[in-house]
Amino acid sequence: MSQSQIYFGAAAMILSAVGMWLMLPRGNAPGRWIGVLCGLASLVLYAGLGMDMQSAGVEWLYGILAVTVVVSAAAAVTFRNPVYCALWFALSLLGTAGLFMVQGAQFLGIATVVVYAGAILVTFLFVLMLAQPEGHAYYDRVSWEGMLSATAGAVLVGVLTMAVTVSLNPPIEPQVVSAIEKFIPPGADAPRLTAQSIQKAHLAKIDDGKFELVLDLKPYATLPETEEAALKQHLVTNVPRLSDHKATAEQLKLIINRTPIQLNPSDNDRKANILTDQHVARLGGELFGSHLVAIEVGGTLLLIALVGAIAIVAHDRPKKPASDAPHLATGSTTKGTSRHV
Amino acid sequence: MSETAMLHNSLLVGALLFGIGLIGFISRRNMIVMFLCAEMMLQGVSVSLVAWGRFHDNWGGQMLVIFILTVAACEAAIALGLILMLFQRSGRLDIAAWQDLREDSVPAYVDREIVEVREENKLWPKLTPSGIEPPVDPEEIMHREHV
Repeated sequence: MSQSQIYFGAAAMILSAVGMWLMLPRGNAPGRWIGVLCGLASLVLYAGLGMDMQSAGVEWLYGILAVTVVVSAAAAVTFRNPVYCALWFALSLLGTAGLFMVQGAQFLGIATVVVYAGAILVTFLFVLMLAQPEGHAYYDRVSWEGMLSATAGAVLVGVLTMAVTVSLNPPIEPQVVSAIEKFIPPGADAPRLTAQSIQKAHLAKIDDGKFELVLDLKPYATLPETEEAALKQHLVTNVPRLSDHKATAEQLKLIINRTPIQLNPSDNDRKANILTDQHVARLGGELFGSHLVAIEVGGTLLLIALVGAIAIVAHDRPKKPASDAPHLATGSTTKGTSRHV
Repeated sequence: MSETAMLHNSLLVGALLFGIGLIGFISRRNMIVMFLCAEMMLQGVSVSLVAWGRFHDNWGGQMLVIFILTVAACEAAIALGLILMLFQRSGRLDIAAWQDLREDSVPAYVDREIVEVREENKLWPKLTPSGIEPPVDPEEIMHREHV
């Protein structure tokens, strides 16, 4: 992770904290639009931290969907009227379903739309209309500890983002790569290694002026062991960080991994397995093959939840509306707060 | 590289969704909005899981998301039942109405000032009046502050 990415991430973190705080309901305090601007700016910075996907069509679709998801999620959290919150949340769900589709999880995309947007959200809206016909309660226009919660959320996102960026980008030192590209082995007339054949080049200073360079080469890169000494000599003179310290070839420890372990499946593997044409069939086979017990437990859970929900709602109603009412936060405008239904 | 990039970007989106949901869950006072925010956090996790599943060419991620959907449906059923019951008892969706459940050592939360309702906050749909005005239930007036 380079220095500029750290600055990017820190700026995005601060801007998103300020933006979310300003956007959250804070009574009639001004500054909501400034918050929207801060939030959009932090979104641009976060997008700058994302990686280039190198396939134009999917890239644009993915970008539009991701921006839709995040913007409508922020709107769902910050709108004053809970009905609008629910509607923005529905848009966010549709965007998520689109992201699932782009990633090849077609069944989950449809299931999200049907289960979440179709069932859960409609029930939420139903309860909302039933329980809050006025829609403009004062508690929707204030929030608990807006600044603290926005800071907590932004720090969490910032730390997660940085951790992801660090762990998914193997460190590649540009100085080392450009030096290796110029390396011509003795007896040869052209450079042997190109930048594409280097997977990781991590130069670290260890104690008493010694350096350690970990170089991961891709499987097709060729570097005979007889040329390692020459490469070391070449690096010591050509990498500015080493030549500035007047490091000698003895002080540089070169660790070359010629065939880095290929953890990632190839595109052909994916086409045969998770991106197969028979997506639903394979998914069902997996679900009812390897996860049969879990499916049964999930079904039981649904049944228990249904029984529990009915038991909660149909349980004995409060007998005396006034005296049974809980102690309310003082300062409430609501006077007859206990309504016997 | 492209697959790594897709994983990276999806994890980014998932983290943002989770964080936004967290902010909303902590700071909003309407119980229904709080549950929406909890669902939003689940969505963030789901996006990350699907991306990991694709990256490792493994169906486990999508399986977990299916179970997340199941649990979310259960949670919604229970949550809506609870919200309805709590609403019947207190007449509000405000979570602060239930602050008696706090621990002994925590001081009571007091609304410092009541936010006045401005004219621009009242975004009412304009309906054409028709028929006779029905008799108003006094209890209803007490309960519905702005209607």
